Amino acid sequence: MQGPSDKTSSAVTTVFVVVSGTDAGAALANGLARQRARVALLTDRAVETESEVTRIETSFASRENVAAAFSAARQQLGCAQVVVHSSTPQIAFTSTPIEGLSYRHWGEVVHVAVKDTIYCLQAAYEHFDGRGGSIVVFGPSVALVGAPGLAPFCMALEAQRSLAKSAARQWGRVGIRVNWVAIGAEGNYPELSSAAIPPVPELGPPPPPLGRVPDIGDDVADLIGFLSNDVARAVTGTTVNVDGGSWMVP
Amino acid sequence: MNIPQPRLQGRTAIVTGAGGGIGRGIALALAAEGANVVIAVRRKVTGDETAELIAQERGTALAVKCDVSVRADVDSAVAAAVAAFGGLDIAVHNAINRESANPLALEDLTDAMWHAQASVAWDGTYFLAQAALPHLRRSARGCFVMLGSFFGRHGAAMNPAYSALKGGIRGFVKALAREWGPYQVTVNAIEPAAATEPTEIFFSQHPQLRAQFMRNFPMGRLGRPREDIGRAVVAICSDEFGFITAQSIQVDGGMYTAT
Repeated sequence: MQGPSDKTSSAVTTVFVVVSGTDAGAALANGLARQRARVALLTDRAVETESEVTRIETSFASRENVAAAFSAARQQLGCAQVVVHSSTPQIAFTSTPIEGLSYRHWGEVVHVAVKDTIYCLQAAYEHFDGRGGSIVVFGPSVALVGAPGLAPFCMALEAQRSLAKSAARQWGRVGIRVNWVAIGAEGNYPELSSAAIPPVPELGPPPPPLGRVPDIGDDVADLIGFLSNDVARAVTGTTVNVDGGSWMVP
Repeated sequence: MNIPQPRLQGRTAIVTGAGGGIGRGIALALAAEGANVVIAVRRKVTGDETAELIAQERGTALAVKCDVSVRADVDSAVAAAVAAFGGLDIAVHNAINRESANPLALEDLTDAMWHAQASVAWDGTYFLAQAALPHLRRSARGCFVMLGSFFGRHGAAMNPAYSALKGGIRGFVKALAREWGPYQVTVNAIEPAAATEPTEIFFSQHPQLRAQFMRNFPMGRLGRPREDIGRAVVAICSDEFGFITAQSIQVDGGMYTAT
């Protein structure tokens, strides 16, 4: 994995993986470390990581907390060229029809998830400090198709995607690229195993067409490596759906 | 000679934020097609103005004071609709916080700004959905309509919060449509590009941007709140469109085509 702004460099890239709510960050951090990136995982989850990953516990309750976690990561690993982010509060995975949804549930999904992302994007912008860099926001692909019982979750994820586009438009002038990656839920998000994920309307062989659901620590880590590399220097504001071809989103 | 009947005759609709602009246009269009319209507005005087315009066209309307960020207000507005007209068939959440139109850098977005906008655009959606659902289920043609925006689709550089809020509507529509489909209640969003008071204020402050912006419109104009946006809402609530759900429909004169 090369630095995002120098395609001829063999320098090792530093990546901050900033993930609240799920264990997906650990799998991704481990995968990126296997690509020879120097990785810090900034998370509110008690997850185990491989020894190469620097783990920094943080709360996402305020902008200041997230900024402090970035500072701690910088002290240990230096400046990052890549920030990877996801915010999916655990309660968001609890399938609940809207008529039975408490305001606490609603607020913890839609407001907390999006504010976490705002804080992370703001911290990344300050961290890059005019040097440019790559930001990849990711989340389960269910947001692109919707699922009953997950209306606030789908709202929050799509808001994060629009926020990423807005950041990409605004910060492109200072060399920051921002992209969004949708990840097939099966296997990667066990929290969604009991949710009513819509079936793909395909009567042929069972999806996905590639025969397997992509793995977050392998396939997704590779994609993030690509998006963060100089070869993708003209790619920003885009959405890449890594679901093995299940939903070929228009 | 067959005289066409109004398409929404006998139905009852509630429209939030209908004291002006697009919301007023939607209320007028719904009433013109025979719907009883409840105008839910934070400042009742503006709702009364809309009701008066509807009355002048021999329509039926009721204005109620409603801050959509307050659950009790939304519950009361829906209850008023049911009490006055015997049910509720159409719920349109249009209200937004006016701050949403102000340009803002993402790095300057604060918690207070987010909550001021999200409490209207999102919490209002949630409160209205909960209050309206029992009545929409009893309707023969229940419709829940939200107002999205092309800002949510393409992400606006200087409106990060508004982009996020409107982008979120797309995800909400898809999920809720799947949830309410078994009740035969449709859920859709309209994504308008219309000439409104905030639009005019913005361009009066940034006149150099008007011509640049208008080049985006193949039809050479912005939408009209009643004739273009309001009638689109009428259409999506009509029997002709009764099998359309889970859609965010761009009513923008062909402005944004990268979908």
